[in-house]
Amino acid sequence: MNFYPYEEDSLLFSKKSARNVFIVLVILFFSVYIGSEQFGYFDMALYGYLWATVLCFVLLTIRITSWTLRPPTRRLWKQGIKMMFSAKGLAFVFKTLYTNIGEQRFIRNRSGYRWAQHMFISWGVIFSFAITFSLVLNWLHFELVEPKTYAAVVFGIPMFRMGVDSLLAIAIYHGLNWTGIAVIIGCGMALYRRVTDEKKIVEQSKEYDFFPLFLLIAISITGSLLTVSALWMEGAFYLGIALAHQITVIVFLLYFPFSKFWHLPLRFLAVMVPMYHAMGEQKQCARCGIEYATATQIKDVQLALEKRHLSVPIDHTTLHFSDLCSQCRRVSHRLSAYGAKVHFRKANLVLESNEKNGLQLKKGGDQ
Amino acid sequence: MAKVLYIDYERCIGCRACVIGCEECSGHDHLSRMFVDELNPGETVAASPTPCMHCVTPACAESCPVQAIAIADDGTVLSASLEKCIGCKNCTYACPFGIPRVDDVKKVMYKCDMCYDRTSKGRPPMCASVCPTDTIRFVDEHEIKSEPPKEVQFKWDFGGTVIETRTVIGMPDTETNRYGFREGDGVQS
Repeated sequence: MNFYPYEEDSLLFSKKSARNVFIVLVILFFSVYIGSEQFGYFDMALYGYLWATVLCFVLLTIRITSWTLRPPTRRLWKQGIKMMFSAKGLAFVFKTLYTNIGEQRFIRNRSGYRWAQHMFISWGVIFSFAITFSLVLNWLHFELVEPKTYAAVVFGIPMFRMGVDSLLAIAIYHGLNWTGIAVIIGCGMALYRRVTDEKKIVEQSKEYDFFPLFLLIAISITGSLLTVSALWMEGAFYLGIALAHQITVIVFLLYFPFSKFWHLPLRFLAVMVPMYHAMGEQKQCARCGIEYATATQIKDVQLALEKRHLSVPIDHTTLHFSDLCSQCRRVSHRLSAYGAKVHFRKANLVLESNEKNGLQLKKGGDQ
Repeated sequence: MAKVLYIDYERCIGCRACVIGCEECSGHDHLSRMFVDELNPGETVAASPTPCMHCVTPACAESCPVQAIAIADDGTVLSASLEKCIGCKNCTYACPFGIPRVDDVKKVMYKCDMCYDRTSKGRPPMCASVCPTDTIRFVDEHEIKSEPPKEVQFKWDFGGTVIETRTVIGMPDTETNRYGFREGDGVQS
């Protein structure tokens, strides 16, 4: 293995993590402080969840820091953010947000069943996050402003009022039940698919594949049981169920940044991709001349490989293998192994084997 | 007893059985990950199959912004993980052998994983199973690299960057032009 650290400064990751975690903690503290109106409306029942959430955010920040330090990731984020600041780029980002994360069209193109299952799980989880975090971090609370009227207060600003037994209020009280039901349906579909259609998804291990599903189902079921106990069992076993629910949620929050759920943050980088491919100038293959990529991306890839000491140049020329389309790369290797000359018609060069299985400019040729 | 793919491409007749066989592998979702390229159309009918080279230091995985390309315990470089891959095509451009492809509709990269569901249980990959001319063989790694039947390629030097691959490519015998043999040595496959 020719292993090289990503950066010359071995403390870079620690420094950046410490800095980012500090920023996140400060923002979190102030959001709790302002949201709870100077701790006036602090929900002590959710105290355990609060610390797990804080720790989850810290771990997630560290994980995101290490991820964005990888050369290709850093490059793509920078390019994406730069391109976003144009009218065309911004339109692209909003459109992609809708198709990729809203509608998840690419999953529907993979299979209708998987799309349905993923819509249930993803939206169930995302809405659960929204409700849980806003309650746990005290961003949102309900105030009784009249004997039978609640006001929903977000960051200390009253948003709307509702009757305590209105349909809207009942829908809101049970918000987490609705999302939980969606998650149970989605996870059920996923488990069914894994059992009946034993496709060998080789890049996944059993624990990586099944554990998150069981965890989500456990969270949803224990959460729903709280409602069952309160509504129809006169609160029997409530404390035990509450503890079980809290344990499953805390396990989930701490497991989140290092598991299958990690693909949720990754997906936000996917929003940059269509823009990245569409807004660059097309580049032609140095051998056959077809347009196969954007010049920007080829440069970015070469830069990322260079940082990892894995540059793949063509000897005695300014070209790299990434300046050829995939087919010309494959064919060039084979022709040079035959001892044949490889003509790069577009770049107007003649190449041959460098006797070490790479390619080089033909001796006597000029660059 | 790790086994690897050995490609003796001067034996290839361009029948593309490997391309179709690859589609049939259960984990491959009917997307073929095999290439058969015509080397010089119009001048010769010579063709050559190319599977993934399964590099020890894969440029595709190194250039992946979301770490979607995993390497199995036995060194097989797997195809992109379905939930991580964002279809950015960095791997397509980084790979010096021109292997990974991206399905633009499904937004996912797919490449040869040496039929990991089969090879991890000791079965040969699909392409090697169906090749009618023994162009693609599934052979013992140590043996093919230490005592090759002919000149082979598995260490590639690109301007000082050495990439070792697990897949071994047999060089054409341009001295005696006897396919797959050197001076009376038969090939045990």
